[in-house]
Amino acid sequence: MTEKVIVSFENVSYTYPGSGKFALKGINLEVIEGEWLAVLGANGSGKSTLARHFNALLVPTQGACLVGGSDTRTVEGQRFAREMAAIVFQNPENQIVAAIVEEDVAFGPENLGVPPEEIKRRVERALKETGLTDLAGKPTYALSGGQKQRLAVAGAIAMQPPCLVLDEATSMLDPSGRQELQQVLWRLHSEGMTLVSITHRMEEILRCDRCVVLNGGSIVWEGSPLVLFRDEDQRLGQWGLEIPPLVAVWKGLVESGIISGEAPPVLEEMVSALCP
Amino acid sequence: MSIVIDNITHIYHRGTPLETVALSGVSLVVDRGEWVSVVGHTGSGKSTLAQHMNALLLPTEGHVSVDGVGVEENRARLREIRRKVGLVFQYPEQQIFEETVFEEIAFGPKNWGVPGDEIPERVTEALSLAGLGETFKELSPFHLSGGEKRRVAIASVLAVRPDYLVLDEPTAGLDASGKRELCDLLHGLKQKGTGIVHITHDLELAVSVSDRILVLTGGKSRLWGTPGVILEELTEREVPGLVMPPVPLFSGRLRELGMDVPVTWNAETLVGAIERCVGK
Repeated sequence: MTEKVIVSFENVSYTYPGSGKFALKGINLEVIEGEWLAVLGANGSGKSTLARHFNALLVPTQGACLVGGSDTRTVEGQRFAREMAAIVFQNPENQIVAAIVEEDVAFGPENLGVPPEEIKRRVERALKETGLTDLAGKPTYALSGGQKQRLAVAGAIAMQPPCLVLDEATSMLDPSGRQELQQVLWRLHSEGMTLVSITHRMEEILRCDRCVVLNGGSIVWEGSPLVLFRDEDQRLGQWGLEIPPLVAVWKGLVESGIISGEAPPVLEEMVSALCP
Repeated sequence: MSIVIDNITHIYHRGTPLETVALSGVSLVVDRGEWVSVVGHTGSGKSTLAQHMNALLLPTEGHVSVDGVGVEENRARLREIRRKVGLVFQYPEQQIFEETVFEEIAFGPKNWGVPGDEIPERVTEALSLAGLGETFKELSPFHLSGGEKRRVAIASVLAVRPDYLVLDEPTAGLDASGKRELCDLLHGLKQKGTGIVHITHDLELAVSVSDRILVLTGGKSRLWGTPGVILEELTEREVPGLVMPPVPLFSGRLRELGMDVPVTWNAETLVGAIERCVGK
């Protein structure tokens, strides 16, 4: 089966108006339908600028960004990109528009002109996917940080975008809020949704299919998280990234030949490898 | 010389249907030259506690004092208390509004009535403490990187020369090197005698930088002590709402399955222990 490219960056560069320097430089990247791609990099490396190209919040200064085959430099391409890709940002407070949970989820499809019966169906499904069904009638102010961010994801997936982009979506959450959101993403991914996680939290990319590292607005590395952790720890520091403590344990055990390094450095897999 | 939080309770919207008990019977002492971290989940009351330290919030019950000055009975001296205790909110760079770094940092001292001819010296001093050079003065703060903006925001509080610095999630959103640089900066201030209160949900970070740690859950104080004491307590019993970091969690799981390894937070120690167990 041939892989379908859902988003394609063709030699994309971007300069913010008045800044005089490139925030992105010569980006060539293809996102394959159904994959979970992580975009890594230090503060200021261009991650969020890249994220904003997925749904044409930004359009390239040079080069082209094709979303679903449509060029975002055209009005039609921009409209299409907003149907194809939804973005969840880092601050959940800024993404909630309604007073009641289910009304907030309905806001996106309502704006797209989806018929009421279909909206009802989509809201129910999005709440179920994000584990918020029991909170449907709750006021949004009463939610925890993790619940608010799951609500932001529910609002995004109710629009049924083929691609969901998460721009540092866990950075304001506590550890349990981060776990909650990661579980939702894992479920969405296993159901075939294309996910793009923008992050500098390395523990969040363990289950991703592929990652790219941005440095100074350019892609400096591309490959699987396993190879990144196993072979590139020296360069991670130069890129402003850091190996998480559990991955350091995994790496130590792989180097000692105790575990194979074929399985990802996640707790359950490591326990099974050591105590089968 | 210390901030003393003595058995405080804080109730939001008291007497209304929205009444919420955010803090209940919390006590804490922060000395000058000491780094205290307050750790807890979202909604545990960390930020509410932080805002009591410079009297932005007053306790519903209990007592707060700063260097011996009680907040409740000295309302005329709240200004003095707020000068002594600098509060850095979460994502402080979002509150940046001046056109140059100089003006941004000068804003605080000007507001506190510092004479005009003393302002440039204050700005230079604050820039230096925050690890930013003189060259930053004329730059637009909006063109700086995330880590630099946060330093400018902290410098603008330091320019008021506080004796205590209370920071709410200061490392949130910073990459690994930004986090390290900020911790080095705070450590330097601590060495010079500033009391640091670090509000965070990052237990691993708190353990590595603090002199003492308070663990809050559901608005109540659950644990209070040195990092060593906190680690020991956490490995022996679960604290509701607090997620155990992955390395001690992993070592605990291996122990449950019969492997003779210590419950540890240190990756190297754990690898060594596993190597010994499997005869490598």
